[in-house]
Amino acid sequence: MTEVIETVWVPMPDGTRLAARLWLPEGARDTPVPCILEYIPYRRRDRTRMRDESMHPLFAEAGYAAIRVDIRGYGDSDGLAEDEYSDQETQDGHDVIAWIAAQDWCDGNVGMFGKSWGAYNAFQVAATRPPALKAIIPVMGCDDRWREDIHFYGGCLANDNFWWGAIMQLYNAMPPDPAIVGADQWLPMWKQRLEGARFWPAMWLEHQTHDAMWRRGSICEAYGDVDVPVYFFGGWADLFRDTPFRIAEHLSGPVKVLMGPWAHLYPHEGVPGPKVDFVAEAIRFWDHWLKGIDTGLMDEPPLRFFLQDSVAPSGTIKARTGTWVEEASWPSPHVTAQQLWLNDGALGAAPVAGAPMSVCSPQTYGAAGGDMCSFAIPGDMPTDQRAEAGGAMSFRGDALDAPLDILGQPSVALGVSADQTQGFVAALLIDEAPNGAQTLITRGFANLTHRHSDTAPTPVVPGEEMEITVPLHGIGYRVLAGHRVVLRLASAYWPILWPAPAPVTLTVAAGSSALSLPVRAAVDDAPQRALPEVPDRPFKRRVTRVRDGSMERSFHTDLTTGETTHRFFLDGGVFGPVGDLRLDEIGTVLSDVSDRRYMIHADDPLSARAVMEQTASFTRDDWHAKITCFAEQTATAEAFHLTARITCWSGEEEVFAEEEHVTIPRNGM
Amino acid sequence: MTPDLVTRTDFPRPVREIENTWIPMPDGTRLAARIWLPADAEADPVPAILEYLPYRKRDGTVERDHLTHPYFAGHGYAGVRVDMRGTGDREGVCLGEYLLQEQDDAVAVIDWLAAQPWCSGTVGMIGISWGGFNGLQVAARQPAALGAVITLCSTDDRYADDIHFMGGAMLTDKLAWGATAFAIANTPPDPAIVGDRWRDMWLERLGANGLWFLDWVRHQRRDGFYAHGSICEDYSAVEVPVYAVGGYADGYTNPIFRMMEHLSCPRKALVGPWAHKYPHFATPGPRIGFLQECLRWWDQHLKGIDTGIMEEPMIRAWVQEPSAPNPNPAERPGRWVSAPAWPAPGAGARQFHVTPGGLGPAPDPAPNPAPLRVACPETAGIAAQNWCMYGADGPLDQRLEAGRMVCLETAPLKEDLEILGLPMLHARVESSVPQATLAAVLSVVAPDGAATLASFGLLNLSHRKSHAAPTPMPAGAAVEVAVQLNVIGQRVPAGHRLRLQLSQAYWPIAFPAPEAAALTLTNARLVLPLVADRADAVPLPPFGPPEAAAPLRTRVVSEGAAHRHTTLDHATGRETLERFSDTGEVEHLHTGITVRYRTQERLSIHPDDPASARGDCHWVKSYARGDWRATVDSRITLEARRDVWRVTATLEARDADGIVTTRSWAEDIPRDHV
Repeated sequence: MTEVIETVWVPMPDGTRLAARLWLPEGARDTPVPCILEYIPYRRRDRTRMRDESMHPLFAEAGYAAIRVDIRGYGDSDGLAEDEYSDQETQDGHDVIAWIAAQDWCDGNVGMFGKSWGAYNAFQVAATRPPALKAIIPVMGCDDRWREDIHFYGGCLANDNFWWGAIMQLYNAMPPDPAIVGADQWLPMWKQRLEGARFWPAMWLEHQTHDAMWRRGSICEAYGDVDVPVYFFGGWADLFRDTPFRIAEHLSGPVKVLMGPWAHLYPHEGVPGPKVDFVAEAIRFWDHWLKGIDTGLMDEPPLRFFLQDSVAPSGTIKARTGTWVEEASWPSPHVTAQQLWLNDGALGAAPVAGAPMSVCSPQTYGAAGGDMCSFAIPGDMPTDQRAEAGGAMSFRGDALDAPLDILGQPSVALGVSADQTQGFVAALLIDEAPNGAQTLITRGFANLTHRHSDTAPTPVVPGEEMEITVPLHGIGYRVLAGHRVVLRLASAYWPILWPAPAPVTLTVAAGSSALSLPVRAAVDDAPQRALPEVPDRPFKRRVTRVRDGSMERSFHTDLTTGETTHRFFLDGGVFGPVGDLRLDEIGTVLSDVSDRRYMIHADDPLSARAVMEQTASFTRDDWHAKITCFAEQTATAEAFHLTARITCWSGEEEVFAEEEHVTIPRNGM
Repeated sequence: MTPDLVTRTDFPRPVREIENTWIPMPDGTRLAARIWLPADAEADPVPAILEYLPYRKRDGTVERDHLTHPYFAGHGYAGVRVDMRGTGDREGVCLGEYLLQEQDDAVAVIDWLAAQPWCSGTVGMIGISWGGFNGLQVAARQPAALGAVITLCSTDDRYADDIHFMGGAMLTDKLAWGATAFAIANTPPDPAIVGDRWRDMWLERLGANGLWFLDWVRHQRRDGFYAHGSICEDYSAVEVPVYAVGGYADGYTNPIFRMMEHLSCPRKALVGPWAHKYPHFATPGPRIGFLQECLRWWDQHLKGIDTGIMEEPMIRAWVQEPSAPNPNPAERPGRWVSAPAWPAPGAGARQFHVTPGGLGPAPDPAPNPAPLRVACPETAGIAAQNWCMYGADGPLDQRLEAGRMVCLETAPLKEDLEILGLPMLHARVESSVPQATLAAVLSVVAPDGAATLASFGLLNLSHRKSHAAPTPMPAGAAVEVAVQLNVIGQRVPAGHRLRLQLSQAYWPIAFPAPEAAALTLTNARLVLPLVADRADAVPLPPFGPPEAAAPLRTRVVSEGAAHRHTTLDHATGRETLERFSDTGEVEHLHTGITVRYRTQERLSIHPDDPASARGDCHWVKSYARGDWRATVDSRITLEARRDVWRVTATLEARDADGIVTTRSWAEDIPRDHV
């Protein structure tokens, strides 16, 4: 029988205690075992409890101690959260590993895994070389916080900076549980947390260039520091699609990569399918590196990618067909760059000179773009790109005679001029089916003011031709025969990117620019080993829905005023449209309602407005803690304006209320 | 109501009002009338101007009645607003549009008016929309006292150019109008006029007026149902002078040109940029002094005064300048042009060949030219205007249709083009299914890329030969078809481009054909009629400024609201257009009635599934005075299933004591080549 300890306290050298939940396999107190660490801020006692239950007990059954630690300032852990991936957080992670290794149930070998935040800090803690850390499994995270985090896409300000920061506004305001920290302690601890919290969207927006803050926690700054074996899991519908290619090329230790079709979900819950049993695959890796068992895993080609087939466009894709392919190394000798020239409305094998082509995209352009980081919530993937054929320059390739396998990171080398001093290029690579439907393959962006440097933006000289490269995110995709490849260039991409201060007209000379596609040659290399399917585990979700939830994901146009609104409403918040849930083991009822709206007028970039309203509560017996958050971002031509409001109640009593207004000058974005 | 409308009170003759009088019909039914007339009309009798509607003279059309009829009265006419049988404060029941009973009643009303001591014995009819229709229909009955007609926004052909069909495709406005008429037909009479009988009269109406919309859906081809009341069946029956008025933003402008061509009576046409409103307060402007123009017409034909109006050219039409796309333009700049007859003598045409490469002067020289393939999402049409615009419901930037419709453009024009008339698209068309629609939209692309809709047309391909006897499209064979686009006067300056947008779907204007269709077009030509350059054209006299009698005095009790928006549900893929209007509570000070009208229309469809199309219309009309309360709450839903039109409707009437009655309807009506 696995021993489950609801709360263990992990002491930090400064006296701060981090709260953890621990699963010990039977016999571990007699025969020490390796330990698997997951270290994130999302509340191990309640909000990730169900997800933790889908993995940690299975690691314990496989003979590992499994520990789920909440970062300082979150859940029941002491202290204050300063920022994501702070030096303190990384040092704490290092110290947690030392503490684990010193426990009498641990044999001194530690593995670390986590998705998203937990992937980042697995990389970051590994870079501090904790002696006991033997291997890491980062799932859907990145090595470069400037290039591939939710803050900036191609050096352009992402609305996800606001959205994710607003999610953290709520997380940073969540109380500890009185049953754990004490009925007399929880409220003072909560108030202390609330007093110390900062509004991260504004804090991050103070840093609009590639400065030290973004270099902190970016292991790409010194790949050599990460020398433990790494098994990276990622998904093409997720945000992090370039990290696997970069780490495969640059890390010096053993690296394995598995890239599936998934959104931002663990592969055993992966959508779009096919799912892969992440837990089983992880255990093979842990067995090899923490127990010294030769599982054969490291004899296989280390890089495995899902080449997803053409599919009809839909914001909701449950499963994709495709082909798993393996590569021994990256760059791969099987993949070569194919140039397709941007001619007059067409993609051609050879350049054809022609008249200049221009577009000034409406500020609403991008409405069919879905999310950059899909969570497989219905409607959050890109929809039919035909709906946005207007408002962009299109370059259409010939119908393919044979399937075209794309694997890697396409790019566009562009000779372009703009009529404003600031702007960006959005490049969309599209698969057009014979019936005309258009599915997004991948996309990328480039801030024109960063063409020389991302640390010192350079204003654009209107009318001056610039040579820039627009990097498109990595992808594995098989464009089927009869289909066409289409490239589209736009000067707006709302609501994924915050608009430049004035409408931008981009001009490209025909025949002077080229799309570079990484084309994988057809090789007869079917993987030897099938990936483990997710077994039907008798997993009891000890959770009761006490109120049904709902959702809305819509694009709304007021035809009278011209205002457009993207609305993302979830009664259930980050859990999806689940309503209120009671965790039966501990009795806590969780409620989380989030309403995110992005408003803009087609002709006015300064009409852009992002709003996020959230209400969350924790209820059990006579404990009722409720939080409401409001966050808003607007901009003038000169500055960003942010508003944050937060109100907290204990029962009927308002225990905290704060409103903050921040103005931040724009710097090239 | 409109800031530039000048209020006139200094009339040549003082005006008195008969708030309500009863006009007896031969069967004993009495119709309610409100009359404004010169105070001295008994001593100096005047012609009567009749406006005859189902829209409740007492509280429905009062705003515009107050602007118009006292103005006529002050200028020596009796302005008469009569409610039709079974509507407003009138007795009886009303069982549909343009019924024979309605016309018989009108003839009796005209006889009665002519016999009144204050009446000179001559009657004119004026009306917009329903009142424009019945002006023509009653003229065809040739009542002896009827001297002239002014018909606005009306039709000579109830199938070809009415709110029911366009090119044989069923308009969603048919549903919207069906719901509007359903609500109006079930409103109560005013107890202040009819006394305690009001509730019994209301119950009779609620029990008997029924759901006209069912009849409208049952009749899907051009049968006797639509031939009745269509004066095109016998133009020669109309002998009195007819002045036909309309605007390009309206849905009823094609008939004006057809009537100018086919009527034999004295006739004139006036076509502006206007929506479905009287031109002295319509948008888009410019508005004109329309009532002064009416007086010139009435004086000429009812009083025998030569105003010179018949010496002017038969047709006066606005030619619009290009303007940026705007769903609610205040003005459409342009100029007046004229024609002595229709077709305009000497007017030429410009033909463009329509190929996958765009619109060009010559056909594709290739031996086997590539065909045009048209297989668009069912959501093509997102930037369309309402079939019949009222104001803020105009077209959006047609660039939004890129990727939804097949878009074909000319090169920038080397010289100006002035279009006036009905553009035509000719093509050989093959369809993948027997029942399909072809939509053609003409827009003008400015040098900055913005595209403004100029005209559009639909053709139900199975109606290519006849609306009366549909013929399914043949399998695997192309047939020659012609799609008529709405009449337009539009200048396209050099440097602009013309754009033709094609689709087999045009939502939310028309309900889709039952199955997704793929069309193949070859030898397609777009023919644009041009303004005739006439060296001998006489200068047209300018119109006076827009003016009217004193507006209705009202008190706003609660503010209203209105919106028109689209929602794309990314989770389901369904797209919905919603139109909502709430007048708020408005008290009419002259009657003490407080009215409030709320309407919500939702039209939704999935881009991949024509059988997903549905429309839901909801009306709430409320009336109150003192303790008196009456509310009609009515809903109609139409679902375009593959094989049937599914109609469901509910009606609930409430008074101060609660529910008076509820009724419901549900019927599946087989689709008949529509």
